[in-house]
Amino acid sequence: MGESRIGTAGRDKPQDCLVTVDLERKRGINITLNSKMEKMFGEAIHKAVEDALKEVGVKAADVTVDDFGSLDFTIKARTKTAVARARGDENE
Amino acid sequence: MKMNRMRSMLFSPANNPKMYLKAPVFRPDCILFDLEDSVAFTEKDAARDLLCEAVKVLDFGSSDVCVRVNSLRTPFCEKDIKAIVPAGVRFIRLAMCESRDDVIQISQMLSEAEKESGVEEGSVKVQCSIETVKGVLNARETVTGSDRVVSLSFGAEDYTRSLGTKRTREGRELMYARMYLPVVAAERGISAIDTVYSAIEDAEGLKAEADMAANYGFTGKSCIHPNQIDVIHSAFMPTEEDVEHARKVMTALEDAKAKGEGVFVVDGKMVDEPVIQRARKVLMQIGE
Repeated sequence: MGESRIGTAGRDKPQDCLVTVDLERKRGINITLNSKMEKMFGEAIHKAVEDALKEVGVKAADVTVDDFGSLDFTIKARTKTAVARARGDENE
Repeated sequence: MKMNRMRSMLFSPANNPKMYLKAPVFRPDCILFDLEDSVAFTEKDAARDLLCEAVKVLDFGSSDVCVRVNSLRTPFCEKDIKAIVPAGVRFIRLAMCESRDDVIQISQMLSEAEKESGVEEGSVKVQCSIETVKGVLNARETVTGSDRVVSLSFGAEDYTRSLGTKRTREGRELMYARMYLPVVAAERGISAIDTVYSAIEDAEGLKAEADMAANYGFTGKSCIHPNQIDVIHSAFMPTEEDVEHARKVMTALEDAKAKGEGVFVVDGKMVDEPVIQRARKVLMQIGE
């Protein structure tokens, strides 16, 4: 068994979000979104996650976003941190 | 060296998304996003990522942005610099800055980050955070470490710890540092920012401390709550008479230059270089 390739970042606080990234997926990006604002902002949240993954070179991942009213910059940041943690980057 | 008005520096934890939207509303002269003490060790990476994404897209209105980076003696400082320079941060406060060597080291780190991200060398300015006994004693040398240094700030919590005493409401234990650091800043022509006043509810105590800091020669004060901003601004705001006089001096200076005259008079008094410097400082404080 290899080490887990799952990373989580963010908090369940207003204007924040909890993002979990699992890099075990073999192909494509699968995003599960839990948000009260999904009808209004679901598309924008998906795009923010996809943009962040692209910027850090992730082509395949399962991503779960628990959104608490976060804006794009927060979603992108939490996604990038979750990826780095899933990759095992040192928190320095 | 251009000095922006920096009467208030409002601390804002870098890992809290809410603060990026909230802090500019209160219009501090500068928002100080903190990667150091207000961020847990386990969240340093998340705070750094959040800060970078925020500064890339947000407009902070009339407020400048400064980032307090972790001390050089931690494993976080270099990562902070490598991340925030390409993201667009152009002003940092170096925590626990103790010597000229510290300034040289951070300046080299900044030069490398600027080069890697195609930013003009020297673009990122530095505020030395003086917060230990060693830092205070070395301050005069420290601020000469690089032309990037445009400011110094005083941090009383760590200073009193290193002095082996504790903070009091009167602040007598801080007197030496508070009298010395503005002198260092004035000699170098940089701004001096006083330490925070921690008792958020005590507006009277804050006013007394801010007035005292202004008298000592500090040009601004750090703060931890938006309610403190107005009190601080009033303490460091020059009077209307000061502003009127400063404008007269600068107008007369331009006239004298145009006529090729070296000496001139304002309100019946001869104006020399210290008067001109003071006039510039007054106008800088009101944003002119």
